[in-house]
Amino acid sequence: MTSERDTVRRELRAVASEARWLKRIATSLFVLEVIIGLGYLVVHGYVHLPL
Amino acid sequence: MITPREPTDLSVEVDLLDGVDVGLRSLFRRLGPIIPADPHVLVTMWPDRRPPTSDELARGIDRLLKRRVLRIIFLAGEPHLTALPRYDTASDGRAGMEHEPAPELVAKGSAPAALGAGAAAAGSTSAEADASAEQMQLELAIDAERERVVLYRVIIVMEVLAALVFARFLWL
Repeated sequence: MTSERDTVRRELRAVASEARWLKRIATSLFVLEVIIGLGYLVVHGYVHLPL
Repeated sequence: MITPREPTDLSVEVDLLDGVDVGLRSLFRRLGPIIPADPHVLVTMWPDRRPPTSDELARGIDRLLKRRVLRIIFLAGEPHLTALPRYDTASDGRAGMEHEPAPELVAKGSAPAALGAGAAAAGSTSAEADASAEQMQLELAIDAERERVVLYRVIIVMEVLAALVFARFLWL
């Protein structure tokens, strides 16, 4: 029973770790796309920065 | 005609809770481990000749939820009741709610020995029930994490597709 529970705990840790990594990747991609999008708007003069 | 019982009378409340408890266990045995959490629906399937009103049933279910012998789960967005392993749905009578030493164990033989045996039996049963409940919680947690993984995978795929469309729009 205990070993079975340990197995389940290990599996839970592995799945949770995978979920954390995927979340990091998804967040990074999203931030990168937003930055590139804003950069595009600035470079092509759609948005004027008060510089 | 069924008249609602006075909720302020404590003994009536206890009777009501016992009735709801026995009825719910009978429903679990008959319908399986998951039943709808709708008192109006449950009243129509009630095994007793005198079903509680839906208000009484809702009150009884609330008490059992607070005692943590029942749990609400959502299937297709609809609330359902499921019994935790501590809530023995396989036996008749009232002893299933809390695992107490059987009365005959206490009555026969010398009282201290019988009490000790009863307590040990109850302790081991309780430990097994706790272990089983923990196992169930772990499995539920794994299911939840797997759902998160699937969700993040879908999000990443969508983001990559958006990036490709974006790149084509920018440079091609």
